[in-house]
Amino acid sequence: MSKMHRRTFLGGVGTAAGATVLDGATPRMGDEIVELPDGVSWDKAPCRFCGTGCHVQVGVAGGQVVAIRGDRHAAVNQGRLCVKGYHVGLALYGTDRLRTPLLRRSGELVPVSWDTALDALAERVAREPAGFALYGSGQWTIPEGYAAQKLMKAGLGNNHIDANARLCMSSAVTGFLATYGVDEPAGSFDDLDRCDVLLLWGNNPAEMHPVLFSRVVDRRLRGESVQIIDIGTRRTRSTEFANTFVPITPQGDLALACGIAHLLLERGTWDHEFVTKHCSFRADSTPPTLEGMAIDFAEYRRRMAEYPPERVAELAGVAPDVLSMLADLFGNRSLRITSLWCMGMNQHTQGTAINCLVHGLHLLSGHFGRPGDAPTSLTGQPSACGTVREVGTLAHALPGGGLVAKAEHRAHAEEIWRVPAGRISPKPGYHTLEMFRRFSTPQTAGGDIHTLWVQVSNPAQSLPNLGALIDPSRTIDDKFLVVSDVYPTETTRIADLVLPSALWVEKNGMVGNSERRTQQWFKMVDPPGDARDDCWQIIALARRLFDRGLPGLRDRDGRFLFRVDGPRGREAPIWEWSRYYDVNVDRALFDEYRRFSHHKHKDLAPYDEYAKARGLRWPVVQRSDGSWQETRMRFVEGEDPHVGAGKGVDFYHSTTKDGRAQIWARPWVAPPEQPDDEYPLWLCTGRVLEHWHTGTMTMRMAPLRNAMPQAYVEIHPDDARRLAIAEGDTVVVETRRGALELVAWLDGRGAVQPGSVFIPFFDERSLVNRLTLDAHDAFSKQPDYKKCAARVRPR
Amino acid sequence: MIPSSGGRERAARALVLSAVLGATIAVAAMSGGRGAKEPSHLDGNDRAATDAPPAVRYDELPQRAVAGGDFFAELAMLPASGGKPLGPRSSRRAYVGAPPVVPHAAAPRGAAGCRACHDTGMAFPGGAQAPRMSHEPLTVCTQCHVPAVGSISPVKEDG
Repeated sequence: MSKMHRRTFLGGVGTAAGATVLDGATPRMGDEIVELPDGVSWDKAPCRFCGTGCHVQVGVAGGQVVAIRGDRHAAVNQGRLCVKGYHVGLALYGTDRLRTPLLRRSGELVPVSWDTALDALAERVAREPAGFALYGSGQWTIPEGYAAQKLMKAGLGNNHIDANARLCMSSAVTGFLATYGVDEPAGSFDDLDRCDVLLLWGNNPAEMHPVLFSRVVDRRLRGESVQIIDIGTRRTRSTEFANTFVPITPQGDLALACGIAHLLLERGTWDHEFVTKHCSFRADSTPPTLEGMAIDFAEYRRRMAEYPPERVAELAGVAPDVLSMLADLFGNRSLRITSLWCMGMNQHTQGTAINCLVHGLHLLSGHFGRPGDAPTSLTGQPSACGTVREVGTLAHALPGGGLVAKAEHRAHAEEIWRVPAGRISPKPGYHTLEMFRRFSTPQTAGGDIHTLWVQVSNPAQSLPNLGALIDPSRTIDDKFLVVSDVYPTETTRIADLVLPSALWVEKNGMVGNSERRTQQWFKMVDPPGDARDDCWQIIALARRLFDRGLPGLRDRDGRFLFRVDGPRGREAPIWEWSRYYDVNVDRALFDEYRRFSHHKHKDLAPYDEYAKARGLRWPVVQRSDGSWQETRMRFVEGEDPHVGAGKGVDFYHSTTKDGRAQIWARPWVAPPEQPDDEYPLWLCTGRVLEHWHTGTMTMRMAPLRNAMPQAYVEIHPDDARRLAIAEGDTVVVETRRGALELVAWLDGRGAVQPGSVFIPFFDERSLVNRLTLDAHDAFSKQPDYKKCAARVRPR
Repeated sequence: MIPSSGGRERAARALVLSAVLGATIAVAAMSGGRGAKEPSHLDGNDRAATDAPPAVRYDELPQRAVAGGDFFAELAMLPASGGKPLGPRSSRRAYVGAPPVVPHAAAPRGAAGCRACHDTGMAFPGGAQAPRMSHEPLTVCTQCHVPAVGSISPVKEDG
């Protein structure tokens, strides 16, 4: 890796948009091209970045991606893109792509063959399969995640598989499960075209989901009225388009939601008919469980009455007249109200609670089930929903919404996977934070994870409290870190084995966006050097374990667990890279996975239907004429095929088995760390428009890097004056876990409230997660990156 | 960034043509990317997807100059252009059809500030001209058009 140290990487970026045409080859994105070459072929693909799932048309010539255009026939984006989407092709062409496997020998990462690399990994896994863990992401394609899931749960009988979506949306999952008994939003992006009021709960879609935000605000150009209420701890670009900004204190969201519910109840403006027909009430049980305990309406009302306007003002910093205005909106059934949220409510030590409370507001007020009336959580990765939530690449889950703890779900999976009964372990594996804790603890002290394979993620930058969760593993003997990625990252730099991966349209893929839309694309160009598909890497490891005689890699007939037959019914040797594309492995895996999709009514169509469409939203069911019908709104008669005639609304996966959704009473709880004399400021972390997550791709894309070249710290001018800090000064930001030097930005991209600072996490030179807290939600195990105590001083 | 010589020649040619056609109102054709092959696996309905706005080719610019809007903008003399008016056009785009970056300071507060100059292509003393928008007005300009150089300067790298 010495040839890819930091300076080289940065130098490479500087020239990425230069005039050089490498090797005299066809001009490609990032080279200075002034026209498109003849013979450009165009094909569809979803964008590689966020969970919006915009479709792009990818222009390919001479084996290179040369242009991108918005796909006007895609329902999600209707031709629009954001700056990341327009430049998504550049993600492939950073100069320091990983091209060959690298194995650490005598402290240095040195190039090795794929055979050597996979043998080294297979040796570690075969020695003690129970101590092997696999950590992936919401960027795993659906077939990749499915293969990973099958390898771990069927092949190794080991449930230590989790994904970075744990850090991103697991509190949204627990919120949906606790409320509706089944995951994922009932509504869809169509609601954005119909809502009269858009409530942003700690959400900044103008930067993080720009195309969705445009879909809303461009309605104003057509003369439509849409009122945007931005509830947050920081003014953002979204605030600029909002009618009202409601500043709240960190964690104040809990009190605010309870306070709105209280006013609806007190004024009698809640929806009596909807609640009586379709809802029950719930509160935390002892010990706490996701299902909680039943309470009656009087008890719910009593608990909400603990949040009168004066207490909401105290806890949330929201004035009584503003609270009253919000209650007026919810109390007005003639309005259509859509709530949007993402990290603000999910990266929260009370994430499950606030998710439940916001669903509860929509249910209590009847703002549910009509076009434009929807509580909708967004996702940050292209397949957080499609792969992590639906395939279930989590320590406790099975594909299609199943649980390893449930015998009937295990039996169903064992049947589809054709493995002997009892193969799948009933014991949940380690969730992300526990997985890394175990990997960072000596085996003699209970650290039973000895080998950790990371795919499509960069945990050495994105985990919270890095100094506790990942650093120690690098000083313990016999801890082996394997990382599959496309560029050098903080994680590949500390790895023992690096595997170079194919990226985006260098491989076939399928993903699932935030509105239940499953999307497909075909491979369009070859990966560079020896880079290979992540899915192939999993299958190639599985084959090596099969060859070594590990019984789990055989099905009950003794055949390879990942057997795929070619056209003449003979097994295709897909573990050989040269033969991997003899068959469409994605198609084989997806059509098998699809069989899991029915038991939670998340029905998927056959692979070939997705090849023809720009995504289909599940449940997708076949009509009598043979066509496949998608669903834009669940639980509603006439929209959702699983709701019977005459039912109106039916929550058919209700935790109480009576078709009802649960309205939760949950209390305000103080955050685990708050500013004090020693650390007097709130620290919030987050994202910016130009960069996507840890910047592995976008920091190598010249237009994006030039526009936002480095991390910074936003400080309120009042605090800056008090601390004698001027715009552009280098300052030191400290928490109890670490310190970081950053440039101060007073009137920056966003504007923080007095007493708080904001730092984006995209910049690998400024690892803000050395400062963040690893305290997490009790149900979802999702940490809070948005609130901890910090102090700032001039350098 | 220095434009390639090929780009300069084409730029000069286009500039001459545009001067001739400058006052003509042309309608931008929105379909039919030249040489585009349709993906064979898309069915009948999806085939229309290739109607997505094609990237503008430089040799088509004269016909699109007026409707396209931002062509004359490149008359602006910027230091990087070395006096070649169309140089900045390509230097501000990653590829033909990509949204140009913004070569000046801009307040990202809604579209009004941007449209004040870019709706009509406002001329400035000294010959500079704001490029006219090449698309229908939208609300969030900064969603696609980012600064050419960020507001904060890069940190010094370790020696």
